[in-house]
Amino acid sequence: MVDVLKTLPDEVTDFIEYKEWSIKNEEGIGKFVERQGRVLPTLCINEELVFESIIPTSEELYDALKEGARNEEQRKTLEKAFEKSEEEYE
Amino acid sequence: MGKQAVIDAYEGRYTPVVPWVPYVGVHGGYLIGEPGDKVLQDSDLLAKAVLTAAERYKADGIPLAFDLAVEAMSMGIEAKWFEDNPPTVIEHPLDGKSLAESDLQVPGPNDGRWPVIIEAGKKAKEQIGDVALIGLACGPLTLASHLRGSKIFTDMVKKPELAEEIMDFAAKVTEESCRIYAEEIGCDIVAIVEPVGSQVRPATYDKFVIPACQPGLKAIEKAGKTTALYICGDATKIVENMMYTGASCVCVDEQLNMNYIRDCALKYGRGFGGNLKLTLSLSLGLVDPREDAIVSLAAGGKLGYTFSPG
Repeated sequence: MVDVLKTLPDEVTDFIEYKEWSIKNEEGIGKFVERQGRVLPTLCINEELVFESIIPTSEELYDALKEGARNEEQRKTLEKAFEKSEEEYE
Repeated sequence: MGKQAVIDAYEGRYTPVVPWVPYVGVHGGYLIGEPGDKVLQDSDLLAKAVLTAAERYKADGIPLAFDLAVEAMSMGIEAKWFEDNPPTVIEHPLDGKSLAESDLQVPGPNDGRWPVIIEAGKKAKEQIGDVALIGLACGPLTLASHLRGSKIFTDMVKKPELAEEIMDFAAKVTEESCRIYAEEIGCDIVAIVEPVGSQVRPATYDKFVIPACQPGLKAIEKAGKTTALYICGDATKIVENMMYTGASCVCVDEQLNMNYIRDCALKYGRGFGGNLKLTLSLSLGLVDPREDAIVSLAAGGKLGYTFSPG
């Protein structure tokens, strides 16, 4: 599931930090409990459980990221990045 | 007990004692004091690891190799090796080019990693005795995600024709893989393994995955062997859909509720397996493995159930 984040462009990863935790170690278990995780894998955005055992399409991912944007500038950057990714995808 | 009990349970029949199938992958290497990457590339070591694990854990059935990169690597796709894990595919050849533009071919028994796997399988089969040898084929959806990367999940919504083309090709690779395990090696059971199968929606599973599993399942049946599906992750939403694939048995992850999978399997006359808590119990020791085993065994019962890690 984390692969969908690895394909995000630089302008997005400039302000989005992502981290993958493994359930096979203490830190990962701690994070799972702290976030009140229910299933694996789960993708959290701004500490909210957003995609639980579902790999999002690029559109779903960008929509969720826009929802979690901290300000208008981030939202616009995400919109532009999504449009560009759509053009490239086509 | 032994091989026939696993076959009976996988085919949904009653067994006087619940059979036990430990999913020993590169852990078999640990048992013989060799790293996983070395074991998976040496037929003598792989056979020795399987035989040692079967004896050590008093298994009724055991997989030959839990390595879903065999098919992709046999097509020449790059993967990264590890000492303590199976290899991971790191190249997605259909990310930037079409299937027609790529020179991808369905790998046969003489290609890539297959000769080592086949040789190991034949050696293990000769000496394993009354233990079911289980071949594990990379499922078409997992293989499609190796080939196309995470874009395959967007393709399934936005470019269904492209997704179908890739899935059709992946289905042919899985079919040949199933044939090799069933016919050439003579595995008693062959399972199609889909670690990412649980991460798609039921409608997507129905549209793309069920049809793509059919050639592989038919190849196993044609060889007179038992069919199964293994799935990782929380597959609750597609358990019922999995029953429609036609596979005799469905084996699930530790995240599933065993009562639910049992009821679903019995409703459709399938075998089912799982779901000792591999991570929480066996790996981390957070749950008592003995108590966990008792809970699984109590829920599973003796009709069509195989006790396995989840």
